[in-house]
Amino acid sequence: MPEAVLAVFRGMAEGGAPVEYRVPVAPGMVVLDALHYIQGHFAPDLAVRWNCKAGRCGSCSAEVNGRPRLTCKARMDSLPLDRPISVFPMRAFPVIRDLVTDVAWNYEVNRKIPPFTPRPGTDWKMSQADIDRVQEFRRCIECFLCQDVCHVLRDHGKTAQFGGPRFFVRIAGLEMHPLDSVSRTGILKQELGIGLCNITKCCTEVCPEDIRITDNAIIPLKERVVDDYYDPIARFLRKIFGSGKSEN
Amino acid sequence: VRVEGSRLFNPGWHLARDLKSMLTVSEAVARSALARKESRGAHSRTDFPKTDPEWGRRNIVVARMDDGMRLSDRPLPEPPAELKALLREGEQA
Repeated sequence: MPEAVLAVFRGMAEGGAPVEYRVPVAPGMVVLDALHYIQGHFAPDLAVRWNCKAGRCGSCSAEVNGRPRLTCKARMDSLPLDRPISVFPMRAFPVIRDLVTDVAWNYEVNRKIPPFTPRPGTDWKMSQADIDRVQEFRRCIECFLCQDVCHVLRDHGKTAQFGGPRFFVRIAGLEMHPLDSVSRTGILKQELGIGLCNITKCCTEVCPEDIRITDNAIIPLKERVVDDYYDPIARFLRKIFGSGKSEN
Repeated sequence: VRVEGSRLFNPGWHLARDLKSMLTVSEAVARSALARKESRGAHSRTDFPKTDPEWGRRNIVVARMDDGMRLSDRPLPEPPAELKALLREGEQA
């Protein structure tokens, strides 16, 4: 059976270093299987967050050979075995232990977003085309790989000024919902700093659910912010006719 | 049983804590499966491949005694009325 060497980060918040483990590679094996092999044979205290092993729960995010990935979807046969496979925790979040990071900040951002708000007495009929449009955003499994790869968070650490791709996806799903009645452009502009995104599309590249984050969520939201805050003609017309959506 | 490393997010620690209970539950499951001389759902026996309606009216109860486990039968409790209605619907369909 072929063997792989995994260089897995071991450590705590104070620091750590990669430790190498030799793992036999079985057909169909993924990196998470290799981590479980390490837990079972060499390091029972290796901390890994995981649940479904099927790419649906979004728990097992890590950086495999420097790329943010779900370890349950990173097949061993897709990686070169002639050198160690590095497995590191997500760099954008504080390490708790080994591969487990503290992602609590994401839930704080989430609380800033006004939830789905239909008009009172809504008629719950929607056209299928409108549903299809928001369905893509609802595929998100909250693995936070897009947050991890985004340079605004990863390299510039703008956690106080920026919401990150995950939450632009959520807002896009709400803003484009045919029955929603609240505008979130104010929050996008001020609190979630959507202007800091300079559309490098890294988030789209790492998304395990293939959500076209930049093209379908972030750019349309940027356009909405521009319409609401920077378009002088639209602003003039709104003054006369009103906006239709309540400002939040 | 021994655990390495700190208590912080240590799966080995949890496994060591759970091990005794898991062994107890495993024994109860194995004893009950031996006693149930039929096949039913996920409980599949090559020596008793058929479902026996008699076993459908009984539960196996495992109790801890001073000298180990004791198995006994208990009649299946009456299901709630709404569940019964659903079961009847299922039988008719």
